Amino acid sequence: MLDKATARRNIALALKLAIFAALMFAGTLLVGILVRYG
Amino acid sequence: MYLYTTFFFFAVGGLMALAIRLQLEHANNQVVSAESYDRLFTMHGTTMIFLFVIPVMAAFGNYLVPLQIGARDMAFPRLNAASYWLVLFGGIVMYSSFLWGGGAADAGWTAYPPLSVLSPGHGLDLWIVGLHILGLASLLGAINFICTIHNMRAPGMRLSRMPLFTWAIDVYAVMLVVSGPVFAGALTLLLLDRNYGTSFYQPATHGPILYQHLFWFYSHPVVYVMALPGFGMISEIVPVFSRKPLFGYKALVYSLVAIAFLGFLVWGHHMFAVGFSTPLQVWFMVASMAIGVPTGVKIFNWIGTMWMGRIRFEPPMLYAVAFVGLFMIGGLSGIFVAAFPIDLYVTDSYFVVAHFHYVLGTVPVFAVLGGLHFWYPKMSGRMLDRALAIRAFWIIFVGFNMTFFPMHDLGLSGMPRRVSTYTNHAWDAVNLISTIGAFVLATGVLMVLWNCLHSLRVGRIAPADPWGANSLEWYTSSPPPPHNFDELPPIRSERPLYDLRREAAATAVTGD
Repeated sequence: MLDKATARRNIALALKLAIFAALMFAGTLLVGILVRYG
Repeated sequence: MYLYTTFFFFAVGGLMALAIRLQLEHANNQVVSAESYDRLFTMHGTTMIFLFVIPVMAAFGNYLVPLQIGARDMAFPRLNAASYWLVLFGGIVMYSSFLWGGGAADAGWTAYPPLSVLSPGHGLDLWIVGLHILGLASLLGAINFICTIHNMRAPGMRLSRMPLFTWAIDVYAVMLVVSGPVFAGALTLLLLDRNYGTSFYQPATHGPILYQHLFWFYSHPVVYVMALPGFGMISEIVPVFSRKPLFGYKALVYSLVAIAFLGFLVWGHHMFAVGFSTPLQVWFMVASMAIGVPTGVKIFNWIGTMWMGRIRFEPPMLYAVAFVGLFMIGGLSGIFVAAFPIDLYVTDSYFVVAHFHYVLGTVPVFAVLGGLHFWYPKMSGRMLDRALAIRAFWIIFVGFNMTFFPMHDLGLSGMPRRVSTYTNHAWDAVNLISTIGAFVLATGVLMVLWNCLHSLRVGRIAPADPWGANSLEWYTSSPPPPHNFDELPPIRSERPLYDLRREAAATAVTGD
């Protein structure tokens, strides 16, 4: 079992990376919309 | 399971390559129809990239990263399992397209619109959905790697002491997190255009160019996503079998990061034929050539490591030396295709096919098989049959070069890629050599797979450290226990096992 502090650090980092990835995905869709319909 | 699954897809992609080579063996050949040929080369490229090279690096990473940094397991073991099952599921979805009426995807692994928008049937839709699933698997795996490497290193395992393979997996993961979602976005727009009446990629508004920008913003970094872990494997193998420390450890780490950074700036060199303005072409050309600098640092450092070493040509080292030489051939042809005046002449020809197989084909064939021979004793607890491994290596080496080197000549004499047949009989002899080479290569790969499976039962029992290696994974038993380590040695440098051996030798001499 992981100690609590490490587990918490892992979850925090994973969430930051997931949010970054989601923003990149949304940004790509936005670029597509702006180029075609903007 | 990850390794078995990825090597299964490697075999499937390899069978498709053999079918392609049979079809191209001489002019006007009719082994497969033109439509089937389109599906074959599309699925061959997709399988090799998305179902073999990228996930096989994750497979090695899952196994080795916790061992190399002294951790019990990955940060999120269940996420790890989810990544694996998503790879398998994505592959099944993609291959299920063969069962549909319209057949599998047939627009090339690049799926450029308008062809990909207009491609009939549901093959391309399943291809897109399959890639979304595989992309999610990559993303989850990448997040897991980053968390593991940055939060779970053993005491003393500073970043500056981490093995090069783990460094490479860290950079691989960061590149996937940055570029993967862009590809997912581009594919989502393609799916919408195909099924919901949108027109993001319509030619009238330069949509196909938009797709190419988005596609290559992902797919050029993916070249390094595939190559960097291969570089990491070579950086692990070369010092062990040269009996020397890695020459320029820090330079190798910096060059990994530099290649990754520059890899995001050069996507346009895949699009010279689009007709950019000259300054933009010059930028992409110069930036592409600049990648040669950190890549050259790596090759220089590997040769520097071997220089004056007591080299042992065990099978992993044979693969590593071959990789360095053959990757350089791909690098040198890369300088030609990075120069836009030359690229315009050879674009979409077999010269490009030869180039990217010497760059990307050497990674799975020589780096991954080298890594497999190196870590097989650790993973299985058994040694491979050395004589068979060496014979297989030479067959693979001859087969690989017979297959791909003649393609340079075919490309320069004008043979286009992605055509199911040709009428020029002047290309017959060279194509025949290439086809024979493909079968020789396949024979060698089969020998490796047979060796791996056979040695599982009859191979000599492997000790914890059969090679006299330096990194932490060789400290634990072969195979490791479920918790990886019973105890950890002190980590005072990037070669903790070498430090232990030196201390033991000093103790033996002084008797202290």
